[in-house]
Amino acid sequence: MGNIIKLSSILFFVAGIAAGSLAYYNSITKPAIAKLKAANEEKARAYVLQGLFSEEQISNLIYEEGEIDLDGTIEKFWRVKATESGQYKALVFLSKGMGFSGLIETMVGTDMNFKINAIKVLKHTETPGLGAEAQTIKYGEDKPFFEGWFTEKNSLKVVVVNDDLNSKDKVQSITGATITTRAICRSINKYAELVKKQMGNMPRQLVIDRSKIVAVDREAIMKARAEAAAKAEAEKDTVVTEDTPEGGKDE
Amino acid sequence: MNKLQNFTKGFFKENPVLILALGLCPALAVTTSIENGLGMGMATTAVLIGSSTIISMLKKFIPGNIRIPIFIIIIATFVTAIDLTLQAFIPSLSESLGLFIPLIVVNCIILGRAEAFASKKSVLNSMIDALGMGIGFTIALVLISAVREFAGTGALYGYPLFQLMGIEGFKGSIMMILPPGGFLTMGLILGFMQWNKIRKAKNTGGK
Repeated sequence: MGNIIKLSSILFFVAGIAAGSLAYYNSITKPAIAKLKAANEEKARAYVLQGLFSEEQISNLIYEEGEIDLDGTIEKFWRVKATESGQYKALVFLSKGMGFSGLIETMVGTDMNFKINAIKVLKHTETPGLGAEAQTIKYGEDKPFFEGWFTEKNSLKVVVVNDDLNSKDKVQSITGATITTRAICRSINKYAELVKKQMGNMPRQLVIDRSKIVAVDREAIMKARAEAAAKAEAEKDTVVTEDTPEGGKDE
Repeated sequence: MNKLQNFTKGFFKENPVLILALGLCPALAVTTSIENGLGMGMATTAVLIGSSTIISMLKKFIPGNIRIPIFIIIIATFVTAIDLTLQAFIPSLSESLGLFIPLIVVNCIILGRAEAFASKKSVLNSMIDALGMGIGFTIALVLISAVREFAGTGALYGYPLFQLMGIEGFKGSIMMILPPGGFLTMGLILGFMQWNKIRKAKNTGGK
């Protein structure tokens, strides 16, 4: 009996010292880790806004945080403008969705019409050589080739080419990793939809000034807009979330 | 055994992965690229040195009955510290190794060296042994990951050799990066090491 008490107290003592020293070390590294995480998020946000704002604007953009309710969990999105008095010019959100083997987090930057400016896959646990290609930067290039596929696509409708051949907003799938690509597309669709809903509740001034976007090819844009309107009309009653791609496939 | 021998034995003669067959799980899991293999090897080496030193220092106070739980506590403490350090200061490595860092706790090399060496030998010898074994582990990981990365992607340490030499159209075999490639590579390297050992033994026996 005495032996058991002696052994347990030694074990308890050792565990206590270990826990104490770890607690101390945690208190040292915690601020650094939190700072790094915030900086990373900030960097990712600035990354997906490249091109929408000028270089100098990007370093001090004004983000306004909004919240979306995702089955009970609250996620954030941001409206972005360059100056205090300016118009909101962009939306940023972090979409999450299950990929082939785990959660994929993608930072998405769009203009106020939900047209994707850039995306960045931040986190994934996909198979190396297949799904992980979403983050792979080819030698001699400065960003993952996968990201480029999404530029200019409508974030509400972006779809894998295998699911809807005729869509304007189709993207190629990564060779051998359609599931990963599809998961990313769908997570973007889902979050964009939620953000859009939330935007509906926002004051009028936040809706983009259309005259500022179009200037170049008016005719083509009018045509595209008419098409989009017709399509929106057709889809009005269907639930535009994850099921959209299958809807296209069945036809 | 002198100190130099003690140091270098872990490189090849008693290489933890290739000869002692310890720590095979991380050797299979993280060796998809040289960068990962190197990072894992160095993280493990750091834990190995820390835990071996402390265990060797405390060996007189650790009762034999509960030595294993105490070893595990000490090892887990070092692993958590390394994990936090990587997260705070080398985030890129922390990201790519991710889940495998906490798993160093159950890497049998560390417990194996604690049990077989550090709990019996002097502090200095334990440190030397830990460093040697850590380097041996790193060598094995880099060796395996070099084969896998090259066969799987045609690159070494991220540099696509074929493209650099101007040869276009090389496609790696993705299987080599996936688990089967890991088993295959490790099996072949282990087999080669054994074959070499037997051949040497025969040669010297014949003379």
